[in-house]
Amino acid sequence: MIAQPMPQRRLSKEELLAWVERLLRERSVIAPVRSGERTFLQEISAPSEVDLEVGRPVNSLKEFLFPATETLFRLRRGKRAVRMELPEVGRLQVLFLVRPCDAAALTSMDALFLGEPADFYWGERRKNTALVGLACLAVPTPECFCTTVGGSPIGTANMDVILYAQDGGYVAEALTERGEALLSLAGGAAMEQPFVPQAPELPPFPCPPIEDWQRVFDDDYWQRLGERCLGCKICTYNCPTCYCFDIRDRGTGGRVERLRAWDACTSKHYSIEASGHDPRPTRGARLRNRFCHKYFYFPWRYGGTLLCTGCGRCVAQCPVNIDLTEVLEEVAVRARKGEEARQG
Amino acid sequence: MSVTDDLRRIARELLESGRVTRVIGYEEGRRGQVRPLVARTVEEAGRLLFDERCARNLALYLLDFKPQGEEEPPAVAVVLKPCDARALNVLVLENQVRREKVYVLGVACPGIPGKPACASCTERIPPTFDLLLGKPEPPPAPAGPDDLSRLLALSPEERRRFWAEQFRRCIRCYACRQVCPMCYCEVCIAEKLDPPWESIAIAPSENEFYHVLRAYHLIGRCIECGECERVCPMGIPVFLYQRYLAEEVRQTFGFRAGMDAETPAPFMTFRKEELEDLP
Repeated sequence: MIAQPMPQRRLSKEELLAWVERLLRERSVIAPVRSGERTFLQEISAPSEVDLEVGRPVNSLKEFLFPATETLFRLRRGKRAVRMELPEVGRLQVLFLVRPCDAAALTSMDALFLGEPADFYWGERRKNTALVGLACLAVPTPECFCTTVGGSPIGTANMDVILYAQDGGYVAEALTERGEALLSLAGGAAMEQPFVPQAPELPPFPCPPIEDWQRVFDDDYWQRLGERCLGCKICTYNCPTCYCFDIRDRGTGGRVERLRAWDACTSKHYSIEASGHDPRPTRGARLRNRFCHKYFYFPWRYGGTLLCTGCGRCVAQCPVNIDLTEVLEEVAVRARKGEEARQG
Repeated sequence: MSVTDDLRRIARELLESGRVTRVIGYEEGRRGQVRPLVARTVEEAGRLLFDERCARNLALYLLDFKPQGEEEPPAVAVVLKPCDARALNVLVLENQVRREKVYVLGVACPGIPGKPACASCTERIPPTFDLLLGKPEPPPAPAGPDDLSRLLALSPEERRRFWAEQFRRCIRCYACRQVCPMCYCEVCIAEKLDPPWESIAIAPSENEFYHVLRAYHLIGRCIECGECERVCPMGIPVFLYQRYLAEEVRQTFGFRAGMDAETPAPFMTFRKEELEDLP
């Protein structure tokens, strides 16, 4: 937090891109880049690559703090001893034009990765990553539902700087000391009157409490939903808060590296135990786990924090129209019906 | 009477008479999408529909009714377009599905607007069905040079670069495999752990291994529905290499997968006299 808030600055498009140019000199910049019909968050080498019209990139910011695959350490057998090497992690980077829902994802991911015992790799990257957010003054996509899960289209959680697209340019505001330092590299003029953002309205959906998820645990709904689920990992891999991973060693001839790579509870082999028993043997049971993890187990364990920011990626990208907003409605309705039936 | 009206009426009859236990079709989803529905009751059959949004290949869901051991599989009805019915033929040929347990509600295919696989397809009537719904329209005239001819015009080095760039994007969500009716292995070789054929890394070389392996496993088996590409969240033209290989098989062996349920794929047979053709 800043003791004395810095005045907002007005940046033209050109000034914004010139700022990116200056940021690129000292650190990696990750920004939305358009490729054909899709926009992806990726590392850029020039400001001209940035897609300023970005709605919601296909991928989330997750991979820049928790890569799809990373080496945890390497072991090398020497003449007398085994040497262990840690990879270099935590280069300076800026995540640029991050939407509030993606930035909000870091709250739950921090709770998980920075809780004891803290994850060294997440911690190092997190420390060295700055976020320049882009507020949603208009609803970017039809699948957005951040307000349902306690977020806001103009929320600033975890950001260092927030940008408001305004009059063909941007209003920039530093939110942290790091943000001030970054913004000091930008041109533009100080605003005389502060810009006060207005949040757009989003369609409201129910957000069932933990008890509701408990009540519908054995509902036939999950099996019916599972009938059409493909069992792929789109919803989890492009989710900003799905964090499941697998760890395995690879290597031969005296050199071994330990890898950590994303994994997903929606896939068939994820929950098979060493005995061969699978506690989640059906697609329905696996889907239920994904939703319950986000709305039941995680908030239960982490003081109410949901593991969902309403970014809408899983809704937009599911090939068989499994729509989380519909799941929320169904759970709310079925929990109420179940409760009414129980009380007679 | 529209196709949807006929479909609902027949589905109700099939369920009511006990001829089938389920009807696999499409229903209206959220946000203007259609989605698969496994209808079990007459009421649910009333939600079935068919229109030109029905891009999916529902033959995939027949794998959920595979016989378990000695048990008889339940009889099911399924809505199939021509490419989907080709998938059924391959599944029957490969002993994954028993044809007599499937009642095929074939649909005369309008071609799905905007689906790349449909642009080069001229089939309008499923190669196998128990009942045909709708009237086949003549296929549209083929458009100009497509993705495949553009790809083939590139040099091998350019092609290599093109695919390296595509596979770099892959996140190995396996949606292309999961949606493919022909990818029914209990454990995919890309995910075998003991011994591992490839590491768990989601990285360019592993991605390439997966895609090349999958392409080879589908030679002479791909029925060209293009679902692999349609579901890819990263926009990788997965169907493009599959289509290339299907075209090679057609030109070399005069064979197209799933046109009937009797002719095995060229790479699934071996004749002694073929030895003489080898260099």
